[in-house]
Amino acid sequence: MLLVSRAVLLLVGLLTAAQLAPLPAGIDHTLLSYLCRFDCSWYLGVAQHGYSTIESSDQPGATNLAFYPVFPLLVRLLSSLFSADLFHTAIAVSNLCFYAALIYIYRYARLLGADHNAALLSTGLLCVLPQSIVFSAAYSESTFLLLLAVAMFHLRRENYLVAGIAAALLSATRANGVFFIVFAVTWLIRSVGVRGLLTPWRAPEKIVPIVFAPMGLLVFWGYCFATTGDAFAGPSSMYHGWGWYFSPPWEALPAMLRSYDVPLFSGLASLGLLACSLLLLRQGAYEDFAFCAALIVLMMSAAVTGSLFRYGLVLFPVWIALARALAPRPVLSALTFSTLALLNAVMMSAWTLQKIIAI
Amino acid sequence: MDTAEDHRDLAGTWRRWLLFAALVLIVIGYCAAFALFATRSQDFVVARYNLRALDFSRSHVVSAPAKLSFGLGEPDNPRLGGGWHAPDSGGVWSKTADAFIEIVVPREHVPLLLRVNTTAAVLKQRPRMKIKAFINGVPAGKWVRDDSNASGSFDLRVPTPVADAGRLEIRIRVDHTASPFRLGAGRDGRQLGVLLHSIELLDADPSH
Repeated sequence: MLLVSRAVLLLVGLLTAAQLAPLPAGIDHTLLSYLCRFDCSWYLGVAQHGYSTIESSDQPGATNLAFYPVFPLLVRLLSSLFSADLFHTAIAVSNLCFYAALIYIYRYARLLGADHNAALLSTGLLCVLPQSIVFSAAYSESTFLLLLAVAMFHLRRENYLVAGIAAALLSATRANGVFFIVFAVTWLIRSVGVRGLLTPWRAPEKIVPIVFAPMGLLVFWGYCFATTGDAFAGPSSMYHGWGWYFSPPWEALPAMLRSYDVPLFSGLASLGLLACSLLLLRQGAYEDFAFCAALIVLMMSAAVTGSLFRYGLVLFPVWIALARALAPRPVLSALTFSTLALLNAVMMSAWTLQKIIAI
Repeated sequence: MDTAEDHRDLAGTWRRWLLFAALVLIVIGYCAAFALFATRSQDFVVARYNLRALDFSRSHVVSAPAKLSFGLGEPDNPRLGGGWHAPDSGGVWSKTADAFIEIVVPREHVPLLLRVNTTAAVLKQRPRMKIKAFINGVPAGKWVRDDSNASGSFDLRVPTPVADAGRLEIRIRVDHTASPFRLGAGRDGRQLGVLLHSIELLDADPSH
């Protein structure tokens, strides 16, 4: 499924470039170049030159400090190790992480009580979700997906140290990885009760993932503080360069919904995602719901509505819940699968042509 | 047998407390680091723009009386430090709580009064805006703007010791910025504070 979906997406990219419209100037036409759009060059820049406060010439305030370090560091490390060029290494890292993440997600789904078909369907959904091309592009999404799946899986299996290390790396992959704490605290409350949460000295190993989770983020903040004097250089750059800021969801969501074009689609997508996440409650996966709901509310608070589609992709517990609900209904499954695949193809065309909806 | 089990229990208890102590230390480290970051960090983009503005202002010293205009195509825009959007026609909007302007005057100068002409982003949903101004970090005044006086000027009397070195770093601080689009009050999605039109440098002592 993984290989087929990737091949089809690349074919869509190729057909878009060849048939539908000419590519914008400056975009090359090689097959793998379709995996490098938008933020790709920022990540490759970090991997190649390290962090810098140099601004983009056409985007005042935008610097590569807005991009968190795990993915570019991994690319740089493996590129040096295998003497490969950065772009191809980045593509390899992304795809290998995605493959490993799918294995973990399958195992996680089984851990939640899904049968083989539902678990397989959940991994299939991840391959065909709109904009799933980012899992194969030089983006950090697949690394995030893998680390999130590892952290959640090992916490449920009570391998606290592994879960903690994965959680620490997660918050250094994307800042919202720190929300893993929501999952871990909810899990802890469910397993030992509120009293257990308030008396952590009785079983301190259980709070290792919670304590480790912010470490990656704080280390990166420390690096930014040491090099720029601004620990929050990432958010500063995001604000000045991309216009990112947060406003309460009760202001941001209505604004998206009364808008048009990309913000409207983003608002509808986040509401749809929230609706799907309610399935987690019905299936008793309360800790997964708490985590996903927290991140969906965060998405609804975003002032810049581009990128929201791909932020939703990594919430794999939602897709597991959807797969569990769909698995006993083959016709509905096929219909959902085909619709998502079709939308994915549309998004791939938009991605190829660098349309803002696919950013 | 009992003694061996007791030893194991004791070792287990020690390990547990040791792990707990280590985790507590990590959390204390986080709190200390966060406190340091929150209190000492300065927005690096703003800091850089302030330096750039200061460089420009040092090479474009201005004497009273003078009027500095801001907005699309205005020659005084490079005096704007961090915290401003790109200039619009008629002015430039602040986008962060603190927005900076750098002005350099001659070392020997008359007592100065700065008349700052602005419009505050007063919206129906956020009807009051509190504005404070600082010159070289020293408070120079505070105002409240609402629907009745959103547009207008405020005067900053420059204390002589503050301006002795010739450099005036003016900081305009608003209690909030607002996005008209977010609040359903317009199509502008930017966070807006005050729209700065111009700054007049006047002689504070008319007897000069």
